[in-house]
Amino acid sequence: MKQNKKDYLKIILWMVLGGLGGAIGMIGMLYIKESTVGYTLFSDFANFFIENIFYVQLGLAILTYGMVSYWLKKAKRLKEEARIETDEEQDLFDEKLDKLLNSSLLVNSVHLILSFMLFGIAFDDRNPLFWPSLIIFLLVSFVESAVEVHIVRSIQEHDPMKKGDPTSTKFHSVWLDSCDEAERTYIYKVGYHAFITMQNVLMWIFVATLFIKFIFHTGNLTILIVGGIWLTNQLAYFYYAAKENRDMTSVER
Amino acid sequence: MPLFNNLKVHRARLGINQGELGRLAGVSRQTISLIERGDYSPSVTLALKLAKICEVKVEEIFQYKEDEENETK
Repeated sequence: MKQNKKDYLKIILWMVLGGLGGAIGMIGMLYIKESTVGYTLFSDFANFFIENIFYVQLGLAILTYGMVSYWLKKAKRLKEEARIETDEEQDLFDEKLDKLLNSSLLVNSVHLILSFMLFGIAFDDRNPLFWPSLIIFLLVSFVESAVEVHIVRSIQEHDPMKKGDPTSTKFHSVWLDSCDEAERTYIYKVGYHAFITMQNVLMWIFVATLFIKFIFHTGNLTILIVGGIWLTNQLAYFYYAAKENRDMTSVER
Repeated sequence: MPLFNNLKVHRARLGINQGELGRLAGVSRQTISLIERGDYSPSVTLALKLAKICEVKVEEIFQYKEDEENETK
């Protein structure tokens, strides 16, 4: 069989599998909608969640800051107690410190996004504690930013080659410029994997949005928003690919 | 990766640690460590720079060796 035919058959097979998955998903969603018990449970849970969202925000903030403070204190102790004599010991120390700082950054960033989502949900008539929700959201936003700045400063203190003011809008470009070639390769690899992951995730979110539209009649806005994000992700990739290609192939130097 | 190096030997000959070599070459200590462990292949520019610091030819530090599987093909 010719390669072209094989490729077409594979594409058709993937489409059939996708269609089957979609049909099964749709039947499942229809079942949930038809089932009064399932729908009532979902509706009751949503109401309960919105009415108590302030406590969810508070609990999540306490949990996050507990974890981040623990890791940052551990990192501080590690730096104070470090007795490094060989390159191997330095490697081990760097690995431990990176792990602690990266864990803090990860949890901090995830919490910032979650707090935005929770605050979005808190904007609801059913939330009796709207003002406390707003105050905790503002506090969280401030503390998250302060923690991120603190972590970046710690990294810069440990590695003075890293430049950039974390409170400036130009921070990311200055930081990238101060990275050496190995660090840049690492950043580019991570960026590419993140892009591919986002492409797949956005496709699944889009499919989920379609189901939700058909079953719960949520309208076209969610389709437009998710589709817009998907399109932006793809166009941003092609824009930077074209820009890099132009720079690399330019005859004028 | 078929790029082998003995940067560690040449660095030891100079009597400097990874951090100092990194500073001289304008890269981080971690990058020197990655190169020495064979986990990162430096660019031509960095390889030449390292050779210049060590005062040897670049091929004395870095050697390109095909693995056995490729050689028999």
